[in-house]
Amino acid sequence: MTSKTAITVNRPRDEVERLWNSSEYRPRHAEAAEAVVFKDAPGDRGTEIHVDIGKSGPAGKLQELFGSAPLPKVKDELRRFKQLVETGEIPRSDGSPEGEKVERKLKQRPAQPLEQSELEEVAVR
Amino acid sequence: MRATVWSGRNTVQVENVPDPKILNDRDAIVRITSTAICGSDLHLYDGYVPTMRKGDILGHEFMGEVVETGPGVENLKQGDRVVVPFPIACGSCWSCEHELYSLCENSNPNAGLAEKMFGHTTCGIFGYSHLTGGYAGGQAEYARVPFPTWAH
Repeated sequence: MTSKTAITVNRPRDEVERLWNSSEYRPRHAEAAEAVVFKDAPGDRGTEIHVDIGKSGPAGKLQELFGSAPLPKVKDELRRFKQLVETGEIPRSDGSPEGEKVERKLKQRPAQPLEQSELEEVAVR
Repeated sequence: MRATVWSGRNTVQVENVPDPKILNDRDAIVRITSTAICGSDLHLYDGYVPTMRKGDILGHEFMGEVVETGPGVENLKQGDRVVVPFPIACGSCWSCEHELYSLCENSNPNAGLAEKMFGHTTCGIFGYSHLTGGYAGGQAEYARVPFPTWAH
């Protein structure tokens, strides 16, 4: 089973490394990774972050899909890191009001505005 | 508010749903004055697009008047009349910087799902299945518009 993932962030490498290591941005699951490598992305596209989570036990395809294995969580974190760094926020939709989240993938809300109680759940006044 | 809701193959009806709220700082709420039914809405109607859910609000071509803006919206104010483009684009990723707005790398919160199915994701799109984000569409009285930078 593949245990590596990567994402490209549209920012210079020193800035990406600094934010990655700051307490505000640091991804929790990726911290447990075996190796995190930062590289200048080709074509002036910013910085590649490569994460190798190493051996993660006998997690099967199903677990990978449903998100109990750490790799999907690391993928979520990488995307949320990219979103925060590039846009300053985690984009939310009506179907995925928490933003990119593996547990949400197969349990989407209907794409219609949230009820008050749901707004409170996802921490919107 | 009232909105056009997909409730299964060949079934679309106007229903009462909650009003949209600002969820992020860079969101705007638009009161819709005109909206369109696109030829591509027929693919949703006919049930050919995967990841539709009962209750999804349709509509990706709409215009209206800004009624509320989040604190991070700088280019629009209450009362502005806007045409809302259907690709939701953050404006700060590599694709957006190169005017490839339909490839925005940040606006689809279900990007992981799209990557699994297609190898790459599109931007978020209003009212066009959960593969393009699961955003409520514009065949409604109001819509929440994230990153309204490109509405004009």
